[in-house]
Amino acid sequence: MLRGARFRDMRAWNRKGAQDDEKPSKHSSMLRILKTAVIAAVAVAAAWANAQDRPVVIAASTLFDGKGQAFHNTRVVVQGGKILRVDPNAEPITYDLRGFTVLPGWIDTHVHINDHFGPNGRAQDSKETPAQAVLAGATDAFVTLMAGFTTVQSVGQPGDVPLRDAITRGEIPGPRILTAARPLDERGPAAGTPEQIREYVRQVKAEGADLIKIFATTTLLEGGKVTLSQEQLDAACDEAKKQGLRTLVHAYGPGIRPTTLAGCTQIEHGTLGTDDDLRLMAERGVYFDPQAGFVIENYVANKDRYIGSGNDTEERFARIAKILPLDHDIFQRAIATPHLKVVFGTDAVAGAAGRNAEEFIDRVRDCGQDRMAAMVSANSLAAESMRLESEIGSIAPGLQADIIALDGDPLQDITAVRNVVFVMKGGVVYKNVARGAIPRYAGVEP
Amino acid sequence: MLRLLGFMLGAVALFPALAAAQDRAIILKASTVLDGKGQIIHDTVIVIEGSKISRIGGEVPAGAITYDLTGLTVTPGWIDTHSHILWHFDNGRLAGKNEPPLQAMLHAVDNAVRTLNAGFTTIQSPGAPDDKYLRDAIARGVIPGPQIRTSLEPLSEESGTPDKIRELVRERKQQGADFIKIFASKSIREGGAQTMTDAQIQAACGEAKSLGLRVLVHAHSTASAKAATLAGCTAIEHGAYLTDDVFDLMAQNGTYYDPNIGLVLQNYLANKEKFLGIDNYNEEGFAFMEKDVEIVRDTFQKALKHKDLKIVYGTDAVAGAHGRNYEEFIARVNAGQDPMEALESATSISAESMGMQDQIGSIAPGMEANIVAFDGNPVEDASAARRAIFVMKGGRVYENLARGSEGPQRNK
Repeated sequence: MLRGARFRDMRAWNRKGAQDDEKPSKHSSMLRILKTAVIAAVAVAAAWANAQDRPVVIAASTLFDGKGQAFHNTRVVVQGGKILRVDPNAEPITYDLRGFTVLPGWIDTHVHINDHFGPNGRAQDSKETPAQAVLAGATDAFVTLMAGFTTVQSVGQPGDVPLRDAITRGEIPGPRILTAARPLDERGPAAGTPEQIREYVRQVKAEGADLIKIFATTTLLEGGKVTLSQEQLDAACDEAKKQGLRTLVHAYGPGIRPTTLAGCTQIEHGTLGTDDDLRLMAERGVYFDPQAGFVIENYVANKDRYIGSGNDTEERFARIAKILPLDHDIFQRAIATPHLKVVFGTDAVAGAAGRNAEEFIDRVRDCGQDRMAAMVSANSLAAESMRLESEIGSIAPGLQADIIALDGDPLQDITAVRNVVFVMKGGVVYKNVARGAIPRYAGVEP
Repeated sequence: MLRLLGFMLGAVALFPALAAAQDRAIILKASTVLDGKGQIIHDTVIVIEGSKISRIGGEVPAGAITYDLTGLTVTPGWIDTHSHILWHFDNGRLAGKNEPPLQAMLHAVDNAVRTLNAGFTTIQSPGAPDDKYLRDAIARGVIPGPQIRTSLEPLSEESGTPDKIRELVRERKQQGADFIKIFASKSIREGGAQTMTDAQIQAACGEAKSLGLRVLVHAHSTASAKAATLAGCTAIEHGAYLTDDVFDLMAQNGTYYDPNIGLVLQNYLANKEKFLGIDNYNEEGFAFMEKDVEIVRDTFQKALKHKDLKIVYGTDAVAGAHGRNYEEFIARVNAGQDPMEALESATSISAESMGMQDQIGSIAPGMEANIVAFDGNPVEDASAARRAIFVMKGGRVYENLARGSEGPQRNK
């Protein structure tokens, strides 16, 4: 257990109104950033520490380590919520998962965990009560976990924070949540001056954010035009760094370069990006999260629930469907770009929770991504993008026991990702169903 | 060494791509089944199709999906007829109205999950208006939790004249209440004297009956319990100070009795600092509660002597108690109740008291597939009630832990 003064200090930074050290001296700022990042990871780990003591042995005929390797006929020993070791001779077996594919719980780096359809079945429901909204969010979290996603990054809304904390306390069955709490939705001058943007970053950190979410361009339908100036981007990503927070930036083609030059952490979507854009991201170590189609498919499949809400019309949906080939194109060029770190993110909105694995199928079937690379993009690479590679995303001693099992082999048939029979998170078994009896929830069918 | 497997043992060909799970029969292989009505069945199979039990015993279809529960004790899902499912602590104190709804409802989900994981697949919450949100969310069949029946806002002596009370009963029905709850006496920590007049009680239970609604009556004193029994109310809750003549009257009238001897008071006392100073949770009240542990136990033992009295299983779970609903069973058995009868109380008798005996509370063809398996046998060793490791509700498996896990991990 990593509790103690250090942990308490970290949590204090997340409380509203906490005194932040706003003007660090130049020499120590790098050290502070590193220290902050480490403390952040430690605090997250401390919050995730689990009191279970008896060793649990999982037998696997096929085990993916999350880093691209497959092992056969081995066993994973779990204790105190963490992976103790991988040992083919460990006895006695507690959970016999032979015949399934065992791998680290998946990580989705881009969801909207509280987005849901209201009691009226639509994306907007003015009659929905706060209680109903909260229950819908908790339901989304539950089906996401049942679908094998043990960690998600939600970008996000303020309601993510209490949901994250309730799950961390070990109460509600749901994935670990990292949240942007209150994304900076505004574009252009409305997003603020550089100084106001810096203040926003500090403020949202005090509100409990684990990362910063900003929008560097319009939507694709509106042309993907850049909406933040270089100064605004620099302010956002620099201040985030000072606060020990990563930045996730919505950016279509034209926004990739300025965002990368601003030192932001990860770029979302990227459709219409050029090969030079991709190479620049690779060069600068910016993580890239392009979507291969699930978000579009979800919108189109649920268009009747969206139409009439906000911007959405039939005409707009016809245009949305035409985006698919453009998304495939950027994805294919991305995975062909040497050293570009392509992580797994779905942009799951209302209607998508619990079907996050569909994005794997789109990436492999429609864009030709190597199947194991697809798995790794949602395991160790996604964990690394979150600076949590020593906590989650692979099967290795000392990491959280976030372990799932699939009925089928995704390396042979990627649609096996739809068949999650076992989910363990922090050593607690949340799902353990018979092959052939995987629960399908209404509204969450593949 | 027995293993709890999720699939059939042996060299079986991999199954092809799956149809919707609920299309295929599920088999539970069991060495000991307690059917909820006093019967023990050994070495059998329970066949589940869709959300229901289709048969017990007989041939196992080739290639059936199987859960091997041999070595465990299989019972119907348990029922708690009195659980305040929304009550919870926040920041170490009993949470009140000032808490943001966002947070309160998350705690409520937590309560629901813990309750289900403890093997309780149906509860009655008596009640609060916001129960309905949790009830309806769970009823959609996604988020885990017991099936909830709620009274919504209870009625009391402050609800008004008999006519006003009748109006409120009609209003509750319109609001979607599953039953009516009335407070006919003071709380145990205030001495339990009758508060509603006989006329008010008659108005509530008479109107409810005419609308097809049951009524649960909080009544500690003999006078309040008698009035409720004679007014045709369905169940007397708590009844700390009831006597033999009252039990006779209740048995004659078919009025159910819901004593709470093993969890509510003990939970209050163990969590005293979290309640003290809120509402009427004062030192005097806690002193009363200390004494009442023995009093309610004695009253319960008295009730046991009345063989025609139907005793249901309610815990009066409040903040701190959810997920430990099994403690009531252990206390009742320790107080002398026959363990099989205690189990029936938590299953078929409670189901009957709720008018749901055709759907829940026993393992029989046509019943809802609400099935729990314990690591150990609660009827031989009451403490095994703490170790539910397999929980199925409506044919869906919500919990399936390995033997030796010592029960729901998250309830610790």
